[in-house]
Formats: sequence, structure tokens, C-alpha cells
Amino acid sequence: MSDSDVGKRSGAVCPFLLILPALAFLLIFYFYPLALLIPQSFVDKGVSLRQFARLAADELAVETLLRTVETSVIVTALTLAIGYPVAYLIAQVRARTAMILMAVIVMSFWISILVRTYSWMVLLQRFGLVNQTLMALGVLNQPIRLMYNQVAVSVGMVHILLPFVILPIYASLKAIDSNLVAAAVTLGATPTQTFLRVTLPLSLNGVAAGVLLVFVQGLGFYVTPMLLGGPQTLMVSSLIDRQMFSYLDWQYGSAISLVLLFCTVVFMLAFDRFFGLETLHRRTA
Amino acid sequence: MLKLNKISKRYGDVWAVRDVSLELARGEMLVLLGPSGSGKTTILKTLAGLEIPTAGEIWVEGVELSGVPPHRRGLGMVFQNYALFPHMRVKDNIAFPLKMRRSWSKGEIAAMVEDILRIVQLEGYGERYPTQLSGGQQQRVALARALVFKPPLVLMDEPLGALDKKLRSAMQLEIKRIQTQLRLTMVYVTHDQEEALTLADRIAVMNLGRIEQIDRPESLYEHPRNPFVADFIGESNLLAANLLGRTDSKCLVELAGGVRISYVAPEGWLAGGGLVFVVRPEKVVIGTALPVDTRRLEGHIENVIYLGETVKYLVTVGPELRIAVKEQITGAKGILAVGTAVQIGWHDDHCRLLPRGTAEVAPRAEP
Repeated sequence: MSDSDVGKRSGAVCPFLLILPALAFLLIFYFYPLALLIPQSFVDKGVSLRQFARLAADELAVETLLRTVETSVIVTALTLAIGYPVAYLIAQVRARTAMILMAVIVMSFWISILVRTYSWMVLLQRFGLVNQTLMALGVLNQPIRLMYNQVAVSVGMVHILLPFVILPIYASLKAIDSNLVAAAVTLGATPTQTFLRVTLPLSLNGVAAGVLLVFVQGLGFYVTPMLLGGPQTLMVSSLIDRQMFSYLDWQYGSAISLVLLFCTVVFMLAFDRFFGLETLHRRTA
Repeated sequence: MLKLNKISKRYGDVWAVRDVSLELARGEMLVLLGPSGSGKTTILKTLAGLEIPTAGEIWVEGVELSGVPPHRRGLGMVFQNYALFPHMRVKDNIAFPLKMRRSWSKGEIAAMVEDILRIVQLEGYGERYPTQLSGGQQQRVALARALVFKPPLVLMDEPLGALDKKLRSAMQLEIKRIQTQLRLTMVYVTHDQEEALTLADRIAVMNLGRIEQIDRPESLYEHPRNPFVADFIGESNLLAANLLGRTDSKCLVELAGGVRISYVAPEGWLAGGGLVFVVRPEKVVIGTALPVDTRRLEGHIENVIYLGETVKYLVTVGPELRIAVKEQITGAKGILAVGTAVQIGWHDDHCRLLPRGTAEVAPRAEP
């Protein structure tokens, strides 16, 4: 076989060969268990929708689902509000400074979610740092309850999910040709106008990616809501866990999982439809 | 209209621009020409307010611009890669500077956009996105966007750099037409000398942050003040030379390898050594038997380069001296072969004897 033949073949076949291990892994450890969920939630002495009917009538489950979506929306909004300025800053500063800031953000991935959640418990508990500081400053007479509510859950989730908005927004900001900003300025745009009309619209695909990553992860978040939240802030992942491992009701648990999966997929499709078209024409730019 | 007074710009230890002063009249087109790193784009950016000069003043229509932020300078600027907003349609790109100023109604803006689209010959393209246009069309949009608000001064930074040669020539004529039609005052940056000669009312040749010479194109070409200009505008034989002696009207010049020629005595005083004898290849005549009065040197053809309408000969005169000669191919006279013994000559009016000056002079051996 000549050299050029090798080149040709590797060019055509290799990309598929390369993803094969990842594909196999996903099939065995992800899609197969997922596939088991589906029959489990439908089968009940023959195919039936009984579990779903039960879910619709279960006030706690519906409330939990709604609360999960609500928490995800709040967390997404907060990460965006905090993350965008950070990404913007990193995109503006000199390369060296940007590298250091980036390292700090990526470094948070090195610490396990569990550890980071526990550290919030240390801060927020009854005689934790926050309460002690507020009392020392005379703001409070006695400690207030900071944990086991939606605020604590949101704070913990925002902290953990923040890098997922910062990174894509940073990437999209970096991809904007700096001449566009210079052009806007020479054409008479004030710094604010330049940001609102040029920088922000051109970074929307990064914002979209960040929102998608945070919202979808938020829907299924488990550890942080478990530890920082209380009975009033039950999230759907905990509910599933409880059904399956406390009540051993695998059928109901599977049904709730499927509804969560359905919500996620619907959201992703809607999102893709909405932002997919936008990013498509920009990619050719 | 525009006046630069001793503009300097330093980055760290490096002076990108050093003591540049120039003046521009209304309706005039000045081309800043120079190799990359010569400071021409820096000058443009300080004009636009995108860079702050380390020292010096910029006056436009009697206003000093030092403290004026770029968005209030009201100058039109066209960037090398067009810098069109990819998320806006052509008409929104062009309307952008008008909307920023908030002095016109929607209807007026639409009319102004239509007008300028007609001038750049892009009627009917308003609804398209920049990526749906060719490079030349994008360039027209960029031009329209920089002109639509009728800025007193238009700055262009290598606007045709990304286009192919054919399109570039067409756009040069187009820009010149629009500039003349609208009587625009323009500062245009390029490193392409042909483009500079095509467009400019005056050219400022820049090197190492300074203006080497600023003059009308034909004056620059015929009377370069130093070897750098002679070399950068057009092609030149830059021959290291020594002045051996002079009378009132004639002088004797020694070129490399001890080749001696006589030349009209230069005006003023020139040191004996370290000079450069400049003669353009197309001003050198070549033949196997030149008339006695034009004959200067004898040599052999070392190389022949066929260029279509012209042919270039590289003639060796002695072991250390090579002179490039360019000749129109007319058909009346054949192309000489490599190795032919030839005579070359020139008219003294077409040569210059210059001090070496600031620029490095590398005798160009290769054509």
C-alpha cells in the first residue's frame, strides 16, 4: 500500500474509530441502564400508565418537580449574572493575568463537589462563619437559620456551576474580532452602546451554551440540595433516590426519572431550535 | 484641515512613531506608505483615537483632538478585515453610525443608507448579511458605513489587503472615484506602492516610525531623497559608490569592483565614500551595439526574466557589479540570450547620487 493510500483511508475512517471507545462506554454504562428505566416505568402487569397517573396525582412529586425547575431557573439566572462579568474581565485583561484567573476558575473543578458543599455547611451553619461575623458586627443578636432552605441550596449550586457559564462565555467573547469593537467606537458608539449592540449580541452563543449547561445540570443536581437543603427544599433527584432506595419502589422512581428526562430533552430541543439557528449563521462569519 | 504636529508613540522602549508632522488640505488624499512596522497604522490609530500618542498634537478643522474620546471624534475609519458586524444586515451595518448619533429620524436614516448604497453600487443588497457577500462587496459596505455620516476625514487601514490583485485594482479605481466624487479628505495606509501611486495626491513614505519623504507620486518616483525611498517606490539599482573627484560640471564615481563612471557633478557637497548611485532598471538601455554617446558600461547577461510585457536582464559588469535592466517587449527587437555580451547606458538625468542616509542599503543582486 502506498503512502497516499494510508493517508486517504485514515482520513475517512479514523474519526469514527476514534470515538468508538467513548461510544462503547456510553452505550454500556449510560444508554443501557437508561433503556432499563423505560420498561420499568411502563410495565405493571402488562403495559400501563399507572405510575404516571400516580405521579400526576401525587402533590409532593409535582411540587418537587416544579421546585426543581424553579431552583434551576434561579441558579441559571444567578450564575449568568455573576459569571458574565467575570468572563468579560478575563477576556479583557492581558494574556498572563487571564491565564492566572482562568487557572483559579478551572482549579475549582479539582475539588470534589462534596467537599465544596461541606465547606458551605461550615460557613452557613448555626454557629458558622457567616452568623458569627454578623453577630460580631452587631447586625444580629442571635444566629439566624441560613441552611436547609432554597437560598442555601441556590448559593451552593451557583458556586459549583459557575465555571460552566464562565468558560463558554469567555470563549465566545475571545472569538469576537477586536476590530469590531474598535469599529463601533470610531463609528460613534459610546462604550455602553458598543457593549449592548456589538459585544453582547456576539457573545450570546456563549451565553446560550452556559445557560444550557447550568440549567440541565441544575435539573438533576443531587448532592448539594441534599446537604444544604431541608425537607421543604426537596429536589426531584432526591425524590427519585427516596422512591428507589428508601421505599424500594423502583417503578415509581423510574417513572419520575423519565418525566425529568422528558423535561430536560424538551428544554434542550426548544433551546436548540431557538439558539441553534442564531449560532448557525454566525459560525460562517 | 488636518495637521499633525510632532506626533510620537512609544511602546515600552520602542518608538513606533517618532516626530511625525504633516498637513492635509480639504479634499486631499494622503497615502501613508511603508513596510510593516514602519508606524503607518499607528499614526492612523492615533488619528482615530484608538491609540493615545506619547507626545504631539492632532488638529482636525481647528480642533485639537488629544482629550477627545474616539467615539466623539466623528472620523470615518475602514479596517483591513472590513470589521463588519456579522449579526447585522448590510443596511443595519451602514445605519449603525447614524443611529449612534440620534440626530435623524428612521425615515431619514433609511434614505441616507439608500443614498450611500447607490454611491458604492450596492443597491438591493441592504437585506443581506455580510457573510453572504463577496470580499469586494464587503469592502464596499465597510466604505459605505464609514462615509454615510459624512465625516470630515476618512481613515483607511489597508482596506484592500485581503482582496486578490484584479479586484484590488478595480476597488482602487472605485475608491478614487468615490473620493473625487464626494471630495473626501482621506488618509490611506498601504504597503503596496502601486496602490499608493494609483490613489494618492501625495504619498508619505514611512520607515522606522519616521516620514522619509512626503511628496507627489511623480516627484517621489523621479526624485527620491534617499536610497530607502528610491528602493521602496518602484525598483532601483542601488549601487554602492565612492566619489573619486569632481570638476565644476563632471565627477568621477567608482562603483563596486573598481568600475568607474562619469556623472554630472552633484549639487552641494557630498562626502567621498559611502554613497549610493541610483538608477532605475527601466531607465537603463541595453544592446549589443549602442551608439557611442549613450554607451556607459560593458558586461554579460547573467539572467533573463520574462515578465510578459517586459523582460528583465541581470547584467554582470565585472565580478562584483550587477545591474538590473528592464525593457519593454515590442517585437521589433528580440529577447537577448543569457551570456550575450552587451553594452548598457543611461542618461544622467535619470540617475541620482545619494548619501546612504538612514536606511540600510543592500545592493540588490537578485532581480
